[in-house]
Amino acid sequence: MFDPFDVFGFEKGFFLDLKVLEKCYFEEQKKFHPDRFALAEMNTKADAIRKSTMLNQAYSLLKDPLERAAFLLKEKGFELMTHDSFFLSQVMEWSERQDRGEDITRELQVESERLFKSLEDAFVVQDYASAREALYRLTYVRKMMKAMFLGPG
Amino acid sequence: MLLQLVEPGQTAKSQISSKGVVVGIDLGTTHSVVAVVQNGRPFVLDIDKKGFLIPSVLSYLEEKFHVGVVFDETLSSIKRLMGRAPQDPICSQFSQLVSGKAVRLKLGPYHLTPVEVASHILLHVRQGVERTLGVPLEAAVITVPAYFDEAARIATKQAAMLAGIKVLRLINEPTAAALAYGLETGVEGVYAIYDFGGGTFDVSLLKLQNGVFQVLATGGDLNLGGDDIDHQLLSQLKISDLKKAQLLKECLSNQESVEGVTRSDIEAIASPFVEKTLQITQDVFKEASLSPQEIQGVILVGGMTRMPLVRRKVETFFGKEPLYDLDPEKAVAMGAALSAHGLTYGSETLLLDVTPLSLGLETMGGLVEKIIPRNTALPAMASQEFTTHQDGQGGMIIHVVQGEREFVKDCLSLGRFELKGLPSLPAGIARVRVDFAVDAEGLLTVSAFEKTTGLSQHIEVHPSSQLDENMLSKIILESHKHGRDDMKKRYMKEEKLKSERVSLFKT
Repeated sequence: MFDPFDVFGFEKGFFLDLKVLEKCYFEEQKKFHPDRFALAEMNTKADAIRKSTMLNQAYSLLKDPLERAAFLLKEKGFELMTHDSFFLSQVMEWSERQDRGEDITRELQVESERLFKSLEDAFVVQDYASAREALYRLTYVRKMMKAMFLGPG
Repeated sequence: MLLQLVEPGQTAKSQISSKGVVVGIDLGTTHSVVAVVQNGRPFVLDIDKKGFLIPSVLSYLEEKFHVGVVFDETLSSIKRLMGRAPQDPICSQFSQLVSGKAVRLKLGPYHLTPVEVASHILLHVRQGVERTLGVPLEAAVITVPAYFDEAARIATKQAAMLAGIKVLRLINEPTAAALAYGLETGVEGVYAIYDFGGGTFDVSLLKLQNGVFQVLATGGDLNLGGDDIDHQLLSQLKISDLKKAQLLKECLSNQESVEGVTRSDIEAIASPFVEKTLQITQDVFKEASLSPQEIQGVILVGGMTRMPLVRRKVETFFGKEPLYDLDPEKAVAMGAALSAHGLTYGSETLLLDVTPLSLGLETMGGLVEKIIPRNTALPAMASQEFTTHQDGQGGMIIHVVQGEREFVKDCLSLGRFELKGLPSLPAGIARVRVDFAVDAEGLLTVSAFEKTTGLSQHIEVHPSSQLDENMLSKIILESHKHGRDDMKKRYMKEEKLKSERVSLFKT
């Protein structure tokens, strides 16, 4: 299985310094990017493309805390939630208020911050069941916020 | 297999002839520019002794082709047709269009494809460089709009190949401009590159840091350029020809009125076009989750940014004065030359670009399943598994599309191929894995495997290779005519092999 932590030689964990990640990513790409092998043999070039692609995939996954959390949970054997009936009623309430023309941006922002905090806390105490629940809700809230931000169309 | 490592800054120099020169070519809609690095600094070349701007036009007079000069019979703005199909609405802008299966334009006794026209321009550039510098042109980096799709990128490479130019790499125009700014002026931080040219508009957000040029997001419009404003001026101000409209627009950038037309007259006409560029810019910021206030600066590129209206509106939008330390018409070619030099002789600089448009597959009901979303860092790779929807289904059509829309009909079709000989299984049991791989230049390879029975099939297709066999043989023929060295012949052979794969699986 593809392990993004392994690609950079990082210890697996939810807490990651993004500055360190970016620095490592740039350093590794400077070594392996196919542009470094512009005049090389096809085989060497193909290897460089593979390695560089892997760095991109690992970086893109690790820099996003939600994707990072999802990877770690799967790794621990916790499949991602696909529904949450208690949370569903909250979502329905939000969308009803939105339909009535109410601005819920601020409320979603607060909720998003609260959920992120509980995701962090859950990882600190290694409570993966709670982390799984927080991740599901947080993903949902972020999606709603993004849809509002991008607007119609 | 172990990777052979070359220290950064030590790319195998010995593999290239020391007598040749590598250049950067900005193959523009209205003008082309060629630049070279000398003593570590990029310089544009004046190959025709008429200034560094080479008009991207091909004329025919007295049984000869002429590049850069306009005669009675002239083809211009050919870049807009690169990789396009005849049914594309853009084709209607070309009066020389000849009806047929492929886009061809009449010039003298010839019916030329856009690739052939572009190759004439590139050949002129190659010969001009060789004449000016007295050495063969060894290889080049050619720039393309960031928003160029697969078909247009491949067409550009084919044109270079026809002109006998080895392409080190295609790079995106805004990225090239950022490279020139980063290396020449030493700017660091997050910058927006606002590139408004003769035919296209591109905007990219880049992070410049310690020699790394990381594209965060890009957007644009392939049919939004100075050309479109000229056409509007022509019809709204009742000007007799396009050349006059261009001149008027240029004069009014420096003075308030010419022959009874004032600057505000043309600004009123140009304004909606500029507004459109800012709308696209706004979307790119949203995509990158950034705001115009958060970035260090905005860099202006392209001839249209000479227009005072454009500078004013851009300044208002960003809330800061834009940078134009480098000539907006030179920056792209200069960046391409720096890239060509770096790729050949080694460099501490690194470009990390992204896919401008999402790549996906057609699924049931004409819907698009996105496999690689836009603004994914390159090189990229992603896979998706599909299954059959009928018992005993023996084949599967794999239709590759590019674009952001939900329905296939609204996206650009890059090509389709059929995976044949699937094992006879009930619906939903077969497992076909489709792999998408995009290299650092933005070129896509699609492969498919059938996994259930162990009898896996592997098909590779380069979907946008639009070479038909006639054209292919002609290219090979031409290449022998211009043929200079083995390296190029090998390159041709590789290209031929790639395109043969396409014809094998055409269904």
